[in-house]
Amino acid sequence: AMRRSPREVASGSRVLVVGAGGIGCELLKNLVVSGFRRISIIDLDTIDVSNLNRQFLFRKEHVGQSKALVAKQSVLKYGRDADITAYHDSVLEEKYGVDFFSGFDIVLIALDNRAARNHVNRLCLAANVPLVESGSAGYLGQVTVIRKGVTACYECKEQQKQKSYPACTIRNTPSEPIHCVVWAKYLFSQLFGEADPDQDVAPDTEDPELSSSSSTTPAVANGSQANEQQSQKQTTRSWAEATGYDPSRLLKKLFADDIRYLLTMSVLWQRPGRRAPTPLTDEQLDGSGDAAPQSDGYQRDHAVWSAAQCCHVFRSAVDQLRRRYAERSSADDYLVFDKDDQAAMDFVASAANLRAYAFGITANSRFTVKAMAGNIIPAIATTNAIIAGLIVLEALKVLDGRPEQCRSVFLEKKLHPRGRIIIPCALPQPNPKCYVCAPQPQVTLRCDPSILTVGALRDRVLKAELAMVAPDVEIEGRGVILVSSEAGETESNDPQPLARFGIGNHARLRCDDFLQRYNLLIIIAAADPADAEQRLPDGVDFQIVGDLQSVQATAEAAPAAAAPPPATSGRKRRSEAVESGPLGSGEAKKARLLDEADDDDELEIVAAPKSVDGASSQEPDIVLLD
Amino acid sequence: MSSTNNNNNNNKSNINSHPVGRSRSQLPTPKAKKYDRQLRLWGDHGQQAIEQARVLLIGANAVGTETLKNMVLPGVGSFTIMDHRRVTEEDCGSNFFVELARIGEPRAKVCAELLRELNEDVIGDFLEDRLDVLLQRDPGFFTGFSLVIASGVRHSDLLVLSDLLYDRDVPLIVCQQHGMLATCQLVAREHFVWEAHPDNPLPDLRLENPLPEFVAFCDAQDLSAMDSQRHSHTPWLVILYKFLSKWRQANAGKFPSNYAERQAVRQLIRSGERGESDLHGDEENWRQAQSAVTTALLPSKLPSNVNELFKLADQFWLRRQQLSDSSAPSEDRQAAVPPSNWLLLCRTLAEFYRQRGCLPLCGTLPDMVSDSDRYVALLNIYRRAADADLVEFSRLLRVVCLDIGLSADSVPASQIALFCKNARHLRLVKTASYRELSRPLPQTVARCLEETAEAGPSPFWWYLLFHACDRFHTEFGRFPGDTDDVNFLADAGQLKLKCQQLAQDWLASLATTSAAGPTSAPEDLLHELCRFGRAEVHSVAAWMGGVLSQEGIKLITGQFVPETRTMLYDAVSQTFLPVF
Repeated sequence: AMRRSPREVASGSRVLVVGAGGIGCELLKNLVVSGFRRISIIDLDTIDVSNLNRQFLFRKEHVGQSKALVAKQSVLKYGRDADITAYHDSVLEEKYGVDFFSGFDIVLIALDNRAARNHVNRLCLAANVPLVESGSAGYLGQVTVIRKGVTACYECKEQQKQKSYPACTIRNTPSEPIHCVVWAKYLFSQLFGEADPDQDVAPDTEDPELSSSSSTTPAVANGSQANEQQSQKQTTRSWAEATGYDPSRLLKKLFADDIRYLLTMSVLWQRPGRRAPTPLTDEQLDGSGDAAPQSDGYQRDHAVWSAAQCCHVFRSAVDQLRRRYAERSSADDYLVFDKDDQAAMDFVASAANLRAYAFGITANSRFTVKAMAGNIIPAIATTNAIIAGLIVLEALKVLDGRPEQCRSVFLEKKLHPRGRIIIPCALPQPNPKCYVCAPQPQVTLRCDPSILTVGALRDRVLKAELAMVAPDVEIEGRGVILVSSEAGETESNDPQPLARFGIGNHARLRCDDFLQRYNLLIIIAAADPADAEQRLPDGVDFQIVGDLQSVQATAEAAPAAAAPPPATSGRKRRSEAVESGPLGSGEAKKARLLDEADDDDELEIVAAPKSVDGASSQEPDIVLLD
Repeated sequence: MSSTNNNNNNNKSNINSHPVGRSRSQLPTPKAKKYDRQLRLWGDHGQQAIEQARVLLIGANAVGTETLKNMVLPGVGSFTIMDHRRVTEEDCGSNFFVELARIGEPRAKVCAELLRELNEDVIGDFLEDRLDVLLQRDPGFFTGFSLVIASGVRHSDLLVLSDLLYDRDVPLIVCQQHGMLATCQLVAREHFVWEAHPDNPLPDLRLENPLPEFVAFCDAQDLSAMDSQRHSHTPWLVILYKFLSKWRQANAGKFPSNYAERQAVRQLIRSGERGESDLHGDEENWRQAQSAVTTALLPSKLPSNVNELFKLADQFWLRRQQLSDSSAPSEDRQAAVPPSNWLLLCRTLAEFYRQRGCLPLCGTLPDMVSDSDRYVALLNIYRRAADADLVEFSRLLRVVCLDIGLSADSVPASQIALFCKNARHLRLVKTASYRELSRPLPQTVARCLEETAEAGPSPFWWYLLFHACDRFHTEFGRFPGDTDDVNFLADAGQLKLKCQQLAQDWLASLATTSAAGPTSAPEDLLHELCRFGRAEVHSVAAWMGGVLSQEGIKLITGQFVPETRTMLYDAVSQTFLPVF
């Protein structure tokens, strides 16, 4: 048959671009110039000034408008003949379900967050639509192709945990600048935002370290814990409201009284290597009028403020925020922390540094605190251009029926000594233990069923950790609906611990997200507080692990035929080192070593991924082709 | 009509006018906001360098325009696009920054207008002149830029252009694209890297000859008298120093010079750690001290990259000396050419090193577990020492300047500070001229042909074929495959011939030509090139545009080390490899 030209392939394909940011803008351009005509683009975000250094479809006058809509308008203004549908919406919305995804020949991810990536991954699997996933950070980037059953899915390897800190470290015993920054962000939410009981800032009287000297006793907690936190949360905000958000009184409470209260928990400060905080003095907190930091923008951002300067900034930030808070349209409305908002960022920078001063931790400039508070990842036009170029090239291979030519490509910061800035790899194979794309996905949940509530199971386990959007949970074999995605049906269950429903060791929970067409079996492993081996670590309420038995069974059953053709090169490669994974799938891995015009014999493991149980860390997901 | 705004008289060496660290006037807030995400990569001074740069793009094709776009967005000072062609329908199929509605208009004008819209802080300009004509008429025009990017420029023009730029120290980036393939090459006589940004720099602590103030500080720390909190919060630097001193006392004062001796120090440190019963084995700082022996106790020696700079400065001064010794008046004039700031700084650095036996201290400390007061105290000791080095360096620099009749404050203070802070990582990057680079040595050619005899397609074959395409164009006035004739086999045959001739030319001076592999290109490569007909695949251009702009920003900012080899991007196999 006559091979179609790339332009023909492109013009006949329906493509969905998820994300209209740094990579999305470049992608949209590449697509229209390459001859794609039926393009949909979806993005919830609006345009910010800090996007303009790379998101070239946006101008100053577009700030505040929808990224997706403006991106479409801009492309069409260049006189490009394409049928672009733009959605200013969250891809997590119900209307973008399997039927929606089934309408595309390929989906291209240009997202900046994991939750949406997980969701799109699942929908593409459910709709059996190939997916090109990508990401960039500073000078680094990656592009890979995902096809159901043939390649690894986005969730096949354990994703790097978003860094989280135990609540008691944040509330009672910070030791690093980041602890203070997290605390300050929590404080912002407690005072002005949507208060989250997991983000309390007041001294925590339930710190496990405070419980009896026997270290085998777990945190004292029971079903009423949530209620207690509820009431504490109320006090922080209602206290502030009662004082009219008086900055002076806030300063005094947060950085003197609360610190003094912490000092009364003397057990905390007897621990070796720990250093007791010092309440800030009235002198520091009453800061005289001339304590304002440099008015000059650069100095203000880059100098480290003194405690007095922090107080000054704190006062004026609180003044602004409380005014905005008072002017909000309804009682349910609240402020959201935005690192690019002057007052919000001033508030967090000054509060974080004041706390740092109290705890003898290094204070930082506003510029640095902003990077920590906003999880700012540097972003530049050049990297996004490279990544977007790669995405379209890989997408065309898929659409042209040449998926065997696809590569997983890594962009490096510097040229490799042997001369490559991009590293092409064979696409990784599916992980038979994957809790998403395996034929019968399952995980084991280690928890104390007498403590973990149904609400926590839904919000913290299923939604936050396992990226479900609207889960239903049924106790297997008993027909009991524990969680329903229909509003109001099971809310009374939320505060109850799992044990209340007879859920104990080995209990099986059928979890289902209709939107994602995703079923997951959760097997409960009751953590035994008395057994040091079985105990959950301090400050951890649950752990999600893979079930080893079923994993091995799946691995044996994994078809070897799905592997790409074996290497034709007879050259000896150092492959032994990477073939000792517990899956014993050395054959499959060998088969992944495609032949390339290579100039050295080195195989490298880019990342040693972990499966859900974290046990198979030697299993490489990527084998370099060099 | 075209517009020429460039002040052609501004032919100062771009090195002297390198804006790195010139004046740390701060960015106004709106810009700080707009550029926030990139400032975190190259800093305000890097941004300033970008905003002072003047970039010339020759060839407003897809790669060229994409490259320029990625420099306009981060805020390059000004750009000029030079192109004599008019917008065609084909351009619209590869270049985003042209419009169907403007077919027939000057390509340079259309691209410049659309690119200018991307950033209101950037000045954009264009010229419709032919390159060969302007090179003859106004060569000075080209040397007024801080960077020139030549995309799709013919070989014969490149020779003239690059000779001109090479002499005047204007860096040139050359790029050619054929379909799914593209090559790029940096041509720079001398490019100085101020900030290499090494991934894991070794700490600069001077433990071999410790700072007196540091010694006094450490001596005042009595480890045995400390309570457990103080003990486990003593910075590893202090611990390391104390046990190093112990070891030196036992070893006639010598500094550890090999692995075994460093491990011996490590053992000593381990012996000083407090027992588990006392501290729950919680002394992170002691573990840090033990692992630091591998980085902090390396014998200091002059980095080869810095030594090269010393040689460069020596050569310049020697030549200068020779010239002023001879009496020929014309040579006197040459001798009066002042050294660049870089040479002045390198000369001073060599002098500093000769006198002190070390480079200026950078004045930063690695991370360590410590209580704030002692960390800050240590940091201040190293900062003061670095400040003192900077003062001494500046004094030596004044002497160097006055010595050759320059004003004592020829180099701005912020430039001196940046230079000293990065002294260990300073680097000179240079390439051969384009003339040399594009005519590889016969031995190299023979080796490449031999190596690729069995392996099939290789970056070298593509490179050779790219040049053969250029020769084809010289003879036929078009690129192979760039014809309405569906049967391009004739072109493939001609191209094969050109390729053979070229390989023979390149091998010419080699006595044993027969030793080399075959000189006729693989058929599939020939056909592939003819099939492309030099069409630009947009995504490949976008990719290359990303890479080239990144290299361009490295050159403009003097940050990070640019690639100096001729590279080939193959979008089918997703490889980017050196040609030779």
